[in-house]
Amino acid sequence: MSSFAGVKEKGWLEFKYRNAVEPTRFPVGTVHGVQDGPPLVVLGGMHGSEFCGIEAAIRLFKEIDPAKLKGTLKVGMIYNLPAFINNLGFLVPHDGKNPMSTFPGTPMGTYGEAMAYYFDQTILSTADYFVELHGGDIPEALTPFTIYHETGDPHQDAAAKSMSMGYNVPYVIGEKMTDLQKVPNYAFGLCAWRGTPGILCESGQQGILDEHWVNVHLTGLRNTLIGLGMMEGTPVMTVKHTFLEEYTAVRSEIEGMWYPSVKLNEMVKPGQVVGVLRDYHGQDVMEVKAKVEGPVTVIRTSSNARVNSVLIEHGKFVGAEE
Amino acid sequence: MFTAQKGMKEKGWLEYKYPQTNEAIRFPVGVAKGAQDGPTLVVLGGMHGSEYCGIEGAIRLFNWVNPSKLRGTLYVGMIYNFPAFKTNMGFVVPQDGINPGRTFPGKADGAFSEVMAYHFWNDFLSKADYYVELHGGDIPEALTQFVYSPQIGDEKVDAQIRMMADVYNIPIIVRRKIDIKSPTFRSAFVEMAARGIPSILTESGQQGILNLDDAEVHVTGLKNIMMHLDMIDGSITNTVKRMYSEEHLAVRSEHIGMWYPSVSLGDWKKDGEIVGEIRDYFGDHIADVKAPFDGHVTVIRTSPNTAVSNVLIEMDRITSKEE
Repeated sequence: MSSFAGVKEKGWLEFKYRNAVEPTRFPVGTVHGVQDGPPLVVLGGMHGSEFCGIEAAIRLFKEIDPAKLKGTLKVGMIYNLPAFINNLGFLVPHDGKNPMSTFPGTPMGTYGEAMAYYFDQTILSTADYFVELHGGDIPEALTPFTIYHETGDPHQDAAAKSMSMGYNVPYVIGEKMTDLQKVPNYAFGLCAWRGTPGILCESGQQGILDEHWVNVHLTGLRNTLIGLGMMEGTPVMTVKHTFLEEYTAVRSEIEGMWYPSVKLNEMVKPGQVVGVLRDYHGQDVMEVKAKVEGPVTVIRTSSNARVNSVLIEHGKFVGAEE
Repeated sequence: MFTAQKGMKEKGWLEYKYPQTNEAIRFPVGVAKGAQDGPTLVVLGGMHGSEYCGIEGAIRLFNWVNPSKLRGTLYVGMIYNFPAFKTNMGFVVPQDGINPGRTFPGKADGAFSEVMAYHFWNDFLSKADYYVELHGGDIPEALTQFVYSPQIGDEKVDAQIRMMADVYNIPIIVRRKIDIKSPTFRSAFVEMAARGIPSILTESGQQGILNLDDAEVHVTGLKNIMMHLDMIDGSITNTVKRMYSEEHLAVRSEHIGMWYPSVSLGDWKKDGEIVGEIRDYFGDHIADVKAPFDGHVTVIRTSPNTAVSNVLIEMDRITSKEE
């Protein structure tokens, strides 16, 4: 038992990147339970403008009582603070890299890679379980979903799927991780590769802080703590799950203006038109088509599209609860 | 560009280079030359590149207008701040971080955004007899539709501006007095007004989202203005009750942290009433934010991140209402 038992501490994790004037900082907190239990790491703000995940992390840390906790809860409130401060979607402003492509990082790499390295070394790698909170970045409308990995390890996969289902959001996406020679470069994938059940949870959209979507995260997080035996209580389960696989983004092949013609949750088939790209004077240039049969989970709601911009995301429908 | 004959439409790009880096400066534009004579109206979208409803309103107007039925000339700039549009950036020109609404009439040898303004002013905006600047609520802002109607103290011009604002069919009209003895205003629509060119700024849309209903509000307003200026036939759509504001004020943050508004768009707040709270990144209270006068909540920052001087809310002191 740690001598910190029953203590809640908060502060800043800081490191110095090369010759940068200001230190790189992560707001973090730890709740040390009075009883033994696993370490759970919860992280908001991998994408700095996904505010609902950030707010849920902050509130979870505030509300958890160490006297009633078994194990250790480590919370990173905002991973990508530079993007948060600048209203920037997805990227770390210093190097233009999506932090979901920077793990496990290196102190000798770019700014974002050094961030990943220090955060992983000090916090992420200590997790027995990991929840990565997302909230729909500036250009995306979305319907809540969770993603876990199927690694082939039955014990780990069952734990991860159970966390995903326990989060109480409608879509549960199982991503196959077949090539274990390849180390994933995003946090919850890296955890899965290490043998740590880790999930990604999306609730919120369009770079807006919305109370409803924050509460979806908070319910899921409380359920997670209860499910892992870290907290007493009855999980709130109100949704019927829909199971998806082959989670797929449809990306723009050209630069122009994007006009979606589908709605969130709409079932589409491969080849079905989901929107149109036009030029800047209003002329149609090309239709955009779905790739798999299943519901639309993310729609780009910014009208600008560049080559490779994600226009929609969808997953192949594999079943649903009655 | 702009060689269209009467009764024709033409579209293309105004292209320049930023002398210091040779980087291209490009504006998608179009012109509709009416078959008959009439005034020249200039319409501009995308002064702020992520305000998509204004951009879409400009594109739709250009595609809708029929030059054989037009009296006068319609110039449309679809997206002024194209670099911001392409990179999902709020407000500023990414090359220099400057808000283009502070750069007019521009400088030939200035910062990137000032060179943009210089060329665009000289080759496009200066053609205007009338000017409408379309905005649409940038990434961090939720807003109630409103029109900025500058009042320069010349009753002939001011009356024309008030009429343009009234026919746009948007409920809040901010009549802002401009001191034209002041050397420079730096935003395109006020620079225009100060030169005696009737000019308004219109806001419909929010949060960096393309909402087609909000874009259509712009299209309706623009068609109304064209009817009012006798550039096209038709009857003006008039469906709103207007409120007039003599003062539109932004409340700015004095702290770095997280912003939690406690008001909704359209709320009425008294002077000193709490409209929201700033907390730190751990969820602890730093400061309350208060209303600056009795008024109407017109804009709310919906991004929680806040730095010193970020706009948190904008309020209007309403002095009269249509019944």
